[in-house]
Amino acid sequence: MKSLHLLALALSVLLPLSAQQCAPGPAGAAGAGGLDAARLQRTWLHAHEEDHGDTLIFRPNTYAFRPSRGRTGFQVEPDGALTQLDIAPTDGLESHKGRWRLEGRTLIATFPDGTSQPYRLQVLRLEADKLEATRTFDH
Amino acid sequence: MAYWLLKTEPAVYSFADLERETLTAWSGVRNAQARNNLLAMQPGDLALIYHSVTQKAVVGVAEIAAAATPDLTAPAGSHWVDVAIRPVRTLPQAVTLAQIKAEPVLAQIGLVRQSRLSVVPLTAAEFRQVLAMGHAVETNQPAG
Repeated sequence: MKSLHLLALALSVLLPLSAQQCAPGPAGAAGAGGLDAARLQRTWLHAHEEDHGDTLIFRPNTYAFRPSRGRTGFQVEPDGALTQLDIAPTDGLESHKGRWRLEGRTLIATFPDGTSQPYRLQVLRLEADKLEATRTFDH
Repeated sequence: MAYWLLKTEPAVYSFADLERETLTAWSGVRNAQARNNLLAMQPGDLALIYHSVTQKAVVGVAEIAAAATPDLTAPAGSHWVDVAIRPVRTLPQAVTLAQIKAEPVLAQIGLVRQSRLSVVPLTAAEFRQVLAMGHAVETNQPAG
């Protein structure tokens, strides 16, 4: 009986923790793959000159980039909002509002209004000033 | 030789940036007509560089250094292209959009007729008229 009580106690502590770790997206907690969602929550710009192979490199928008036309990016917000920054047909940047969530180490970006193509960003490495990832677009 | 006009926001990439780099990929073009104009460019063609948004003036001349290649700033597999360009010279005097609009010889210039297009073909006469207004002469040799 005592062991059952202890098991129930252990489950009551562990289950909420487990649920939190598996919670997708914008909560700020670590995702199931150990990714700290809070560290994703900023504006990332594509450091295309640092790409290698299929790996894309992103840097925070505060990074000292060399001047370049064609620098795109995305803004990840704590409330689940995502703003995609693309190049406009008339030059300059245009923004598209979407949503994001985490599945393991994959950031899933969706655009309910269809203004931008949804994609998945598989995060390979996340540091304070560098995000390495591969991206696949959903068709 | 063909002549072109390339628009850029100086806060993003300016003619001074091009002079510092000495060679750059003119990337970030996401308009089909502008892309087709990039595809038509050949090494040796000359281009006026126009600062949009804030300055609204032609500020320099560049030379197309290499024909179009895939734009590495675009998603892999997309059909966007860039060309390599190098600076030739800064215009001694910038030529403003207002001056261009007021010049009858430039009444048909693409910069005015298709104001939202960022890569615009020019006639030789239009190119030379803007150079004259900027107190420059045609050359593909960098200023000494």
